[in-house]
Amino acid sequence: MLSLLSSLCRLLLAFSVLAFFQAAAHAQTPQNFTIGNWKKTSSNTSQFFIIQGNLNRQTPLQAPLEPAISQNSFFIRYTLKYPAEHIDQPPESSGEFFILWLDDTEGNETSGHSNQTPNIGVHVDKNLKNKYMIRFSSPRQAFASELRGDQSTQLVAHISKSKPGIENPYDKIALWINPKVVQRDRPDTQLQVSNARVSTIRWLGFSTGVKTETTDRITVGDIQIAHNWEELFGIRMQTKVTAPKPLTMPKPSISFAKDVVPILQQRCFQCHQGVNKTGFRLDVADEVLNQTTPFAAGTSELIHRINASDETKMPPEGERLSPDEIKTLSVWIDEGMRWDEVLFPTPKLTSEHWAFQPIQTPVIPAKPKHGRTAIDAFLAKQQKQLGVTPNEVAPIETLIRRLHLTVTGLPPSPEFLELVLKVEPANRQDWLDQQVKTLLATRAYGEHWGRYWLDIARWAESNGHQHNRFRPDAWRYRDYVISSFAQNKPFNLFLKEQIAGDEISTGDDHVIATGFLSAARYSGNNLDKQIQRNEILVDVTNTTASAFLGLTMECAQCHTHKFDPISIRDYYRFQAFFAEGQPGSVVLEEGREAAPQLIAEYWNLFDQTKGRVYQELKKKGSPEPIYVAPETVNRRIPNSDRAFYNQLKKQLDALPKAWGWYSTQSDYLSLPVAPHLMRWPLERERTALYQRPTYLLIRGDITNRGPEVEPGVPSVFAQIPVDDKPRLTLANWMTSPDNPLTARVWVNRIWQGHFGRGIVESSSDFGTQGTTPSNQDLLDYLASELLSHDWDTAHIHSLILNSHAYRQAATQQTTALERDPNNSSWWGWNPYHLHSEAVHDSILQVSGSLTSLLGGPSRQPDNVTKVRSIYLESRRNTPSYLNEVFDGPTTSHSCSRRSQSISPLQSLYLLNSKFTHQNADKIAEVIGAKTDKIEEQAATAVLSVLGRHIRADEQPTVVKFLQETSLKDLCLVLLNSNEFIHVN
Amino acid sequence: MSINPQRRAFLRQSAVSMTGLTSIALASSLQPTLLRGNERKIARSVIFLYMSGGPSQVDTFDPKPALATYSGQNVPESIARNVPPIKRSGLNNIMPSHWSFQPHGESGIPVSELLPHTAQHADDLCVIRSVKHLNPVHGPGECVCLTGVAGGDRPSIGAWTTYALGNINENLPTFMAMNIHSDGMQFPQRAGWSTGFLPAKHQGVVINPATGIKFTDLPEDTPQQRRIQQLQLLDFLNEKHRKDKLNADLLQARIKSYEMTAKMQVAAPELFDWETRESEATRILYGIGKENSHETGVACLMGRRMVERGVRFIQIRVGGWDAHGNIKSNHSRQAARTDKPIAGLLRDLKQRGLLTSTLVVWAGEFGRTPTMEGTANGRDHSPNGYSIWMAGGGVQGGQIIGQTDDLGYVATERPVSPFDYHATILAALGIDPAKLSYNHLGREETPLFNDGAVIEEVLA
Repeated sequence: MLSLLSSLCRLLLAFSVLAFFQAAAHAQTPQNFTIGNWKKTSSNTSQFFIIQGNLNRQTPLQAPLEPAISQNSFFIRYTLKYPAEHIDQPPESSGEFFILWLDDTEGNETSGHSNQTPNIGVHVDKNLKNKYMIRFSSPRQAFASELRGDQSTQLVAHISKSKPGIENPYDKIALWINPKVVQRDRPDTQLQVSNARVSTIRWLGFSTGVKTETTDRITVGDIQIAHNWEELFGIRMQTKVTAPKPLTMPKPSISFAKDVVPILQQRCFQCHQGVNKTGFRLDVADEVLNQTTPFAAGTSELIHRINASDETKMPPEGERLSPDEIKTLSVWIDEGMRWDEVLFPTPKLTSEHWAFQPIQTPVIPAKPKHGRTAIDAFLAKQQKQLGVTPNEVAPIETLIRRLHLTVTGLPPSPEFLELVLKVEPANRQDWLDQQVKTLLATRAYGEHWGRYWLDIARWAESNGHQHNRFRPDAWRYRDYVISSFAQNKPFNLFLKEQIAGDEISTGDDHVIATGFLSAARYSGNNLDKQIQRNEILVDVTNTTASAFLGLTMECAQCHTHKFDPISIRDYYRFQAFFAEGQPGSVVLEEGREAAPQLIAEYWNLFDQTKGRVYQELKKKGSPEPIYVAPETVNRRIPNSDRAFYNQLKKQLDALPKAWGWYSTQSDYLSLPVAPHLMRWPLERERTALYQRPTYLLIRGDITNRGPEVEPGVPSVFAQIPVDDKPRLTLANWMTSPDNPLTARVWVNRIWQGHFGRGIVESSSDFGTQGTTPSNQDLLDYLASELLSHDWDTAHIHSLILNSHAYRQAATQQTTALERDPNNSSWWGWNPYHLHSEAVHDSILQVSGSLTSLLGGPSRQPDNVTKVRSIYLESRRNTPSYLNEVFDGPTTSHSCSRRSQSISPLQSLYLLNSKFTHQNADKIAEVIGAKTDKIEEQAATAVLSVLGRHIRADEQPTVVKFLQETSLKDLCLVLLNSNEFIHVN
Repeated sequence: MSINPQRRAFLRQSAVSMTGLTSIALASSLQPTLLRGNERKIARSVIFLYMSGGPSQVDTFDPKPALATYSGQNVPESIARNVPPIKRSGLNNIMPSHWSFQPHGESGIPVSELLPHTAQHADDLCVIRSVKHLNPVHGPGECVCLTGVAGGDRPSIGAWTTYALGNINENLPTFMAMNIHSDGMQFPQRAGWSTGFLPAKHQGVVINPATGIKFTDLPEDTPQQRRIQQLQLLDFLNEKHRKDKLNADLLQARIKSYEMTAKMQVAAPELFDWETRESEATRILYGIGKENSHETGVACLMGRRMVERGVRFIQIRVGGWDAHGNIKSNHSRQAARTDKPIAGLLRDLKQRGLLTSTLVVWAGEFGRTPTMEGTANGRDHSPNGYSIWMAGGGVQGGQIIGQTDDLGYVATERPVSPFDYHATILAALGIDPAKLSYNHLGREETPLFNDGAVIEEVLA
């Protein structure tokens, strides 16, 4: 009912006849079982259906089924709670009796409903035990386990016909007591009879008998009928529901071709046909959509313009459109703006833009004298054209510090310097090649590059927005990213797991990887479920497109992209890949046996309480159950169930979970989703994920639906068939060797990660408005290397790190600076600011305080915790002070490149914070313990902090400072120095 | 009176102070073409009083006698049909205001008895009664209020302002934000002082008015003389490091930031030391020392002190206005927290001659429904037509702009958007928002976004 109500709201919002028909059609497929209004013949029942006996046969509660059920099989479930103190134990007494019956007649208050019709309840067995029971009549009973007092017990029955057919009776019952979802084939008891009577069930009700005392207080609730087992558990139906076909629109009174086209041709096309200088085309359906609102001429820009009399009027000059013409166009829009694609086909979007062309493997130019890898050959060609020559190799201590910082985010140890200094100077560069391999296999590399990826994935550990709830399981994705890098996972696999992990398998890694999608912000304070979902889908669409494809699709959300060949239709087709999923707290393998039961019990109790609270509110005039917030429900759990509820919550908390993505495509049976409480969460029923057709939204407005669209890649690319694993299809397309973007975008990000700037500077925008590559051959060479090496990220790192371009000095050359002022040919190393994490981690590292960690839940940032920043809790809206002042990632949107701002607040932090002082103290302490000679102390301090030997031209000044101040002061100054804070 | 010479001097000064920095200095923004209405009185600083939670328009600045007439009834169809079908907009049970309204000052602007002190400044206020947008949720609403969009991915109005005008006093941050009473569920949204796509240096610095800017105190073991020695050595090492290096500008800028550090270390404690530097009379004026108004009082006083010292944009966020239940006690408490301090701020700025150069803005993220929410004597969120005010520099006070319907539900006359009042803030500072642009993803972004426009009538 609720969904119908919201459909109606949508209708009002959209003024869209089409939307209404579609919503109505959706509500009908599949047909839901509905239990009618409960008829309470006794005042002894409440909303919770607390039933007491009267030492007589009675039916205090019954309800009609609308429509009646006659299909071959169905499931019914209810929850029963018997107070232990009231359970009478035979032979001392008569024992207990209680049933749910299903019948074709309504009967009266005292009818038995035990005349060859299904009964599910409690009765005494031969051994005089109170047991859960099924029966068709008194003699034909079957028993399950013993009745347990004080516990909410779920009874699930499968009622079926051994002979299919509408006229044949229901003659089989199977019963499960508190079943787990995996116990489908293992009922606790079953029963078949030959003389069954009822072939259509029209009524159901609860009866007590002579054994039921007036003091008994039996609670029943959560009564539900379902087509199949899975639906009963709120999980995916075995057969996928096929989306209903859009209904044909009402017969139009206006013909597009005969009535509309002549007006457009005579009055509009003079300026607005074909590619024209006004920027508006009225001969292409998707562009007309930018100017109109189908079914609502009144809010259509086009109609406003032809009606206007001010400077916005159309046509700008000459005769106004006649009232008849205006009316024709208005009716055309009100009838859904039919278009004739034959008459005016949507032009195939094409683009000459470099990034959309196939990746060609360029011929490697002649290797220059200084060259170490092919990279240098490509750059040498460009440098020659510009008339510049690259710098010499950087000093070895600078180089090893650079190498450690760009690969691991940490400075090298002084021991490493000693090691390299032992190598013959002529062999040092080759020796470093070996060290590159070693460094790329460290966890520290995974941590540093993992952080880079987390920026791009706009990952954080809270929902964002106003309530900003913590996501206690989000850390698993962080660990997944770190180990993916540390293990050098092929990038194509890394991509697939993140976009479509749950479609590949339900294995933990795959589920955790979908943390990329679920990292979207999630407003827990939105009552409008459509807006709430849409915000998440928009986030997922934009982030996926920019992170992997370097496409800024967000512009096309509201209108066909002004610059890039991406139409508004392309945007929603891309979004449709994600439409049947949502973020949630997905239980991992270890917890999947226990989870379904716990979750079902939890929601059962939750819903009962919610129902009760709602009834109370309703009496006071509060309009909708949606206003009953989960916090309220939590507070209002009845005292009798409180302990049980708390225990359930505890058990649920203890389950291993991931903040992941689940959808109609993921295997539901195996993927239980635990409650993630927030004030107004997304709809939790998985069935809500079905039937999510994606509509083109006019101007991005959720209330303003255009035509329905199917998943598909942007039309500028060759189209691909989309199967029942849409996201995997998308991921396969993104990682196919023909995709011109993915490999280019990734190698460029790798380049940026080392040099601080990409070959394409706008590293998340490879569109026409992005910057052009400073050296496209180089970019394409790296991209084709990635493809020919099975997406081996470490291979690209090595090519870069072993190149002369990477190893050259940061010296400024006057001539080169004149001829290539932006250093676009990479003739020298550009020093850049450490990222906030590297500032933090490097300080801890040089003071010897850094504690290594192998992942796990995030740590609180404080002065006692000395782990790498990536393991510190990262909540949206409340970044650490270091992230606040040192340009940390926004975490609300994908961050492709950190800002490099300079502010006195940074300096104040480094000069005065407890953190830097503690660490300066620590370094001083260690050095002081080693030597008390001032000169040695000065040299050791420089070595420890800057990773190099003290220089002759600075030694006297440093020593003098040390004589006048303290070792700690020296260390503090060194930690503040530009040399320490930059990648030199 | 012409302000031009002073303004030109200031622009020159800004230009000079900005060239030392490497981040995009927006030279073009300092061109005269960016300025509008040079003859007009313009503000040079802004104090944005952001009332978080959503003050009720019909209980503050938009009197609606019809609420009493229709008390308990449903919203009539003539009004209800204009109410957007958003979840929060209840149409049942109209609830009258608990407060009566009186006209104040020469202008006769009606202000609710809830805000008696603010009311005394009626002739300075330009009340806009017709702000509207579509987001009835706090978090996104706060982003709409301060950045124009619900996602908060565009620059905050403070960031646009500092981007356009730079700083006056380089010894202090250009944009400072204070979050007062941010208890409860309405966590401050970082977007409110963030820069969106603008360079990070334009973001607001969040400070606690009681403790000031972080890390400005010298550590105990570092006497002033020692700090001088440290900075001398640092300068020596940095100069050596910078020699012949690529990216020398960046390195140079960082060296310079240490000079600023030293100055800020002197300027910031002086700024925040109101306790020894402000008179008893001033404290009383701001309600400092009074239980309810103390915190806002200190923040507002800091606002004035910042203005005096050339801070460009000051944002004071006062939480707690979310009156779902018992609006009488909620709004009474909020009035006790804010009325005296805000009125004190206006008076103090005026008596010091600063009100003509300081624009003061008062706004929530939305208003509230004229109907009762549930049965709890409160009002739900309503972004359909609510009141804000502007006063001081660049603004024509003593006027009301826009109207809502008879119940104060929906803006009926001169509806304006947050983008519009952001544009107006910039215009009051002498900037033409249409010409203030930043190239982001190939698009020349302006504070107007798609269709914002200056509310011309506001301007003096």
